[in-house]
Amino acid sequence: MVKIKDPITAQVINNALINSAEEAGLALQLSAFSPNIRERLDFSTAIYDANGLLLAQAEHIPVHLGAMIEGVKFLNEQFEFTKLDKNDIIINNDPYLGGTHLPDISLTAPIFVDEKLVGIITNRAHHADVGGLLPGSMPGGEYTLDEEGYVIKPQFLIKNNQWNDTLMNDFLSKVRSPEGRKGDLQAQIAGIRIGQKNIRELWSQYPHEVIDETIAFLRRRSSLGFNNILQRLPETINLTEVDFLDDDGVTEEPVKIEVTLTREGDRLIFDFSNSSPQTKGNINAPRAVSLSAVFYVIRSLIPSTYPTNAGLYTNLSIITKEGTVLHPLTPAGVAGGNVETSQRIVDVVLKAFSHLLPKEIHAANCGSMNNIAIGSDERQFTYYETIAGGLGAGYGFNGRNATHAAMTNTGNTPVEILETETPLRVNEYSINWSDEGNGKWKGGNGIIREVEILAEPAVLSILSDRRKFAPYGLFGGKDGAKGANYLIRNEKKIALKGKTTMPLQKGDIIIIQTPGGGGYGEEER
Amino acid sequence: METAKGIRIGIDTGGTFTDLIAIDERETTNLHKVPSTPENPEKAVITGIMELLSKISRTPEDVVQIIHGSTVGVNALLQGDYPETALITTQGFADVIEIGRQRRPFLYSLGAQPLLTLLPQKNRFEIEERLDSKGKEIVPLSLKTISSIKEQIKDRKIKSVAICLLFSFLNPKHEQLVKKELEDLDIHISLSSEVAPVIREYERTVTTVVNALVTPVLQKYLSKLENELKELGFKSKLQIMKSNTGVATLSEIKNRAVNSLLGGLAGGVMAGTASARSENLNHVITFDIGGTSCDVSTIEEKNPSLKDHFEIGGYKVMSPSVEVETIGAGGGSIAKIEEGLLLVGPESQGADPGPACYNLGGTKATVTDANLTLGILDPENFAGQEKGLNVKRSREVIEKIADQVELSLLDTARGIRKILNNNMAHAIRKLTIERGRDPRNYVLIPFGGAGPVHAIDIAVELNIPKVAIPPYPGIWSAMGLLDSETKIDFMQTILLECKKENEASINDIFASLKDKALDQLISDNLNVDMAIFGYQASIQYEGQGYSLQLPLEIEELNLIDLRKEFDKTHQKRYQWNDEQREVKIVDLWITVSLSQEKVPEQKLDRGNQNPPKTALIGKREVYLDDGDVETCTVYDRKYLLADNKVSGPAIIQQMDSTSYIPSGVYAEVTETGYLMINTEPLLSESNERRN
Repeated sequence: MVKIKDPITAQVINNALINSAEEAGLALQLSAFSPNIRERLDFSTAIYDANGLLLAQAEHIPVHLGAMIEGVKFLNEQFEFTKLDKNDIIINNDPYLGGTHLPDISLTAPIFVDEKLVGIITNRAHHADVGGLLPGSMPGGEYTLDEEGYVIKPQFLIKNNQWNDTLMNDFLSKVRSPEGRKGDLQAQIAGIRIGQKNIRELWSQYPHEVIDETIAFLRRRSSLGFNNILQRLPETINLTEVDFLDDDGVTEEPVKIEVTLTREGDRLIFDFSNSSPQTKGNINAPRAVSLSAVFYVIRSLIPSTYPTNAGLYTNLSIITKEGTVLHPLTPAGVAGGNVETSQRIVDVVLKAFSHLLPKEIHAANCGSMNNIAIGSDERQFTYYETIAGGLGAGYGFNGRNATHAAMTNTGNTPVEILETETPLRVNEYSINWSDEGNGKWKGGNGIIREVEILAEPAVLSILSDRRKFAPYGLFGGKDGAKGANYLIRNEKKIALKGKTTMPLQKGDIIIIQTPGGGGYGEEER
Repeated sequence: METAKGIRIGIDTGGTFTDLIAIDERETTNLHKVPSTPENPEKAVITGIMELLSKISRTPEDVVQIIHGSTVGVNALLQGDYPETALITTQGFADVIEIGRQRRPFLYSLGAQPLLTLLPQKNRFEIEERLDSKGKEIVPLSLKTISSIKEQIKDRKIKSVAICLLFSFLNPKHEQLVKKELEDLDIHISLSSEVAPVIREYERTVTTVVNALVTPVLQKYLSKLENELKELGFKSKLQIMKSNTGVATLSEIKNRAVNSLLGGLAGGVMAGTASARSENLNHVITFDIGGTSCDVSTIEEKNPSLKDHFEIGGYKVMSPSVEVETIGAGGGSIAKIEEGLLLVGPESQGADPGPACYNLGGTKATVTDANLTLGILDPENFAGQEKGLNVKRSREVIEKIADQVELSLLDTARGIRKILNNNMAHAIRKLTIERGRDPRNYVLIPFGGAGPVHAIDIAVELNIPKVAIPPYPGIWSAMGLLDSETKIDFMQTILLECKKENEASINDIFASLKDKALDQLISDNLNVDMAIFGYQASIQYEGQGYSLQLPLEIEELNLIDLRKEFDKTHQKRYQWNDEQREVKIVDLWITVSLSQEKVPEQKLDRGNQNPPKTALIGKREVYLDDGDVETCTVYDRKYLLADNKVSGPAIIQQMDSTSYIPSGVYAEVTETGYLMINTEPLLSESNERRN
């Protein structure tokens, strides 16, 4: 057991750190404009120490939180936060420089107490549109990064208390709803300022050596959380597992995700080198995103009483090979890496662990975020959302229906809000009741969402997966239901590919059926 | 307002105790406490009233009013103990209630993601119809499936039906037609356009369904209770407290019982409001600590803070409610060590087995054990424990924790207190600092049995300069019930721009809401001349999703001023605003209140600075300070007189609570029976220490 002289003060500081991140997140959410942020809670906040090591995070979106760890490390090296002014804020959305995908814009700022850098705060939020060829900036198919949207290389958004007008003017001129973008950035700034204030207050309440000692203690303590996993695992591990994405949206080739899990003493090594080469279609997962998928599984295996900080991930080695789909080189398109490929990494890592911890690991979740974007430059609207599927069943429980899995936990857009704000109508929004995914415990069912287009012209992008390869069942449980996408035009129903971009006409109806979760254990008859 | 010619009784049913207060014609206050009977909650209510009356030698005929804060509805909902209920939705949308917002409760978990199911799939029916986003009919209502739905309702003995159709908040016609078809069945029917006519189908459906679930339950409970009271000879009407701090009217219980779900919490908030009014305090933080939980709220300009919804069992219910932050922290909260960190709560030992010192078999260290070990509580005098508290047991269980972290017994007990105080301070921060409100402008009013035990420490932690301990902290929530008024809310989503040209439409909508409210008052035989109307609007920048609530003057409605006020409020709350942006009014909200008799203020006899000898109980050693033992003077509160000054370190005991006054400050007794403590001497000291 780790020890600290004053466990009481340590607990008080621990709570204050987590609360600071949560308060900062709330301020961002409540004054934001993008439905993605305000309705769907597609944003995250975290606080780091002066060296860029994670101190605390508010529990929002795993794919953000994991990737932000890399992003902050990178920015701290490039900008030397000790030399910044206390009000400076850095903006960034480049997936190759610690970002996730382009709509996720990050703000990062130093926290100074008496001229001394004590920490760094960052938030990341999914904006409704960041330019590019298609409304929503989430196309599916063969697109480079520049075609997907506006790339903001790391730079100052606020310097000497002034907005970076050069950047803002150019950025706002290239996005589809500039008013909303500016408002979202204002909300993100509000979140940063409130977080900075909270941390400064905390540091003013305790001697700095007490805080430093506490942080070191909390980190050691969380690293014990990792040991907690190790204790449940055998001394020798050497396992390889494989799963596939349907295709990259350009060719019909399946995309392989392969992991080899080994153990060296107290260290777990995840080697993804044998995964497919980077793809033409934009489903490449930048390395930061790949790491965040492994972090998600590790975090989920550790009891929640160990707070999330850098200590949890100290004894992990994650090997990715440059030029693969899990470590692409710029300018490969990445819009789908964050939302689809990250989910498949989770599936394959969980499958590897299922051999070691059979009662702790559930069958595959739906494995896709089922992204749909419909928009129109002429009609000036954008609708983007992800649609949940079924969760995998596990030992002792059925998978929940219609619930977001693993790397995301966003909310839906209410039908009444959607119809009030866009020329779209939802004809059906229901659970896809199905017999698939059966087992001793049944996997959850997916969703059917049917959207009718009331104005033209409009463009549709779908980024979805598990349309060809079903979510796996475990230990005799059946595979979950596959998803499907359809277009009804002139009363004819046409099957659409999992990854599609196409023009729409007035009267078209799009049907998205999301996958279910896999079953667990042999069904009793 | 006429004065009561008899006894008024407030009854607050809690998880462990049912608290009662009676005020008679001579304005004498009497208190009573009986164990709650969760299986048959009316049993404790009846026992409590009868015992209380016999204690004061009065009869049921003498009682003129009974106001009750009940948890029957909440318990039925959380335990699934309600009649078979069905939901009718627009075709294609029956599963909205299960899909929810698609989010899972536990972000990082590989285990089950549990869901409290309100309605199974087989109880959800669809009907062909559709309105568009302006409320215009695009698919006419087809009643061809209604007869088969009716058959199933009869066959399956469904007792209650919720109807929630898309966009019915803009146009209720289809919902009303469906209701008409079902009216010949002898069942309860809730329409979303009546229960919660607000945008967002999921939240509106949940609210309507919850209403359909709890309304029959509450009606049954009330008629049972009323019958028993009648048989015992009571002539007065039984009134039920609502979540919005008002008393429900009869028709409201019959149609919108969802509005009474948090009546218990509202009693506490109303008690704090009564304190703010009687002591003339503009900004108050109320702070109610019982055995298992701590409820915090703020009172602004002597009015309770309300919001348009509350959350229960993971569901968001659109029903006006007191804005309360509840955390799992109370006297029964369990302390434990986990990998070197001391955790307190949210698990609680409750009343049975309760803290180790209760001697009922509890083996875990609780906050009450810590307070007893530190000498703050009197083992011989503790509310609800006639047999006294066992100090030895408390020391044993705390010692076990102390060993694990290698701290002394007293440091560990102080640590448990500190972490609990810190958790509670965080709940207060959420309602103040996070909302742009400065705690330094507030007075802290602690109640619940454990409130005054922790109040001053918490005030110091948050720099709150003043603490006002009410006369009967342990039953203050029950007292709040007697201070409530009849209060009805109506809400309507409108989605109009905040511009001059919309002033007429808004006036029209308010007028129709006012008519609706007046109709209800008339149908409940209430005196409409006494009604006071309050108007509010929920406002946001065009494109935002969350609104701020602003009060309106409708006689001189000025949307340009309103807009400016909105910019100001937004700046205060979120630290930014934008005067160029369009502003949208989302909902209008009208509140009608009918005042009724208030709880009379106490009038203590005047004394001088020195408490009378009769009030002095003795001395007790308290170990709160890191260094020395403090010898506290112990007083009996019932003998204190107005103008007495009790200097710390002191402990003031009473039947229902214990107040701890640390050294460096004093408590001044007011004529109305409050203990006023100015904490400023401690604030400067603690700030110095921190820097």
